[in-house]
Amino acid sequence: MMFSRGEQSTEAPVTQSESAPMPTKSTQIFSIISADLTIKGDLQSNGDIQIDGAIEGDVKSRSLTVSEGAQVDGKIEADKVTIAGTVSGEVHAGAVNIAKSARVHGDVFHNSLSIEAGAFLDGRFSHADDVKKQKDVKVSELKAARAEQARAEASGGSKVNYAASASVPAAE
Amino acid sequence: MRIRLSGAPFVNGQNGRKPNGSANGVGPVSIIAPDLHISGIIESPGEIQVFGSVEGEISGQHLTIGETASIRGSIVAQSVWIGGFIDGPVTAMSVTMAETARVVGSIFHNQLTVDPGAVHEGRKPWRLNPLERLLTNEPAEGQA
Repeated sequence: MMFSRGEQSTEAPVTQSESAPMPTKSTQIFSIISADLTIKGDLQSNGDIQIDGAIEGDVKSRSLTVSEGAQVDGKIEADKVTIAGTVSGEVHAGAVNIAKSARVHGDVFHNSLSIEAGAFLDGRFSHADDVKKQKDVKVSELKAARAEQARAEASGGSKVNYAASASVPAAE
Repeated sequence: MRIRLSGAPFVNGQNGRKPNGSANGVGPVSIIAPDLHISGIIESPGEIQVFGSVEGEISGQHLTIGETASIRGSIVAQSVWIGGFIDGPVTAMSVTMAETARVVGSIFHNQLTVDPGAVHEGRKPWRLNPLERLLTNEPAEGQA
């Protein structure tokens, strides 16, 4: 009790100037792009964004909601995204929720996915792990395959196993 | 600084309707939170509250530039309340600078309120209708 009281007394003089008419607490506000707002450009946030309006550009956020009637023309990157509006572009997100009112034109890369019946989808859906594996394959196994190939050519041998490299997607 | 005419609150390029000039924002409010950074053009016929950072142009009916906000670019509005940092020209019928405001650039206004403590580096030209300067392509800074 004594200690806590002491701490309180030291903290007491630190008063925040809250004379501003608008809230400024960074942790509690999340961004709202209302229905009549249009943004031509990129958005980047460590917090939450709710988009009701139209965005022409890329959106990077922790959590993102594309509301019904909203439109995003660009790439979306988020930990968590809920789509009820129209999205034209790639979606990269940990958890993807697609509502029935959604229209998604573009590929969706996800760790977990839920799609409500009625959603309009036009694009490929891939689990992020698969994508990651593919990338790993591209880099490491291609290198290994090439090294093996080079070794085989150097030694003049013909017994090279191309099976592994055959399944490798073409490097971009 | 490039200023798009369609960005002026009087000229709503999207549907051509003229928003009424009521001082109190009607309809939904857009909020740019402190952790949001936008680079690009922001347009709204309604109200926008900015607490984050914006690189680009903002135009709306009523703008609030919060204390935590940092704007690099032009601002066009019917009325604007400034509590944060702006680097660029401000054009509005009514401009209010709070004590925490820091503005670098011209403020084209019809009504200007400056609280003690507000910092402004630049001109403060009065205009009967400051938004008209956008139609006549009047330069924002002092240069001819």
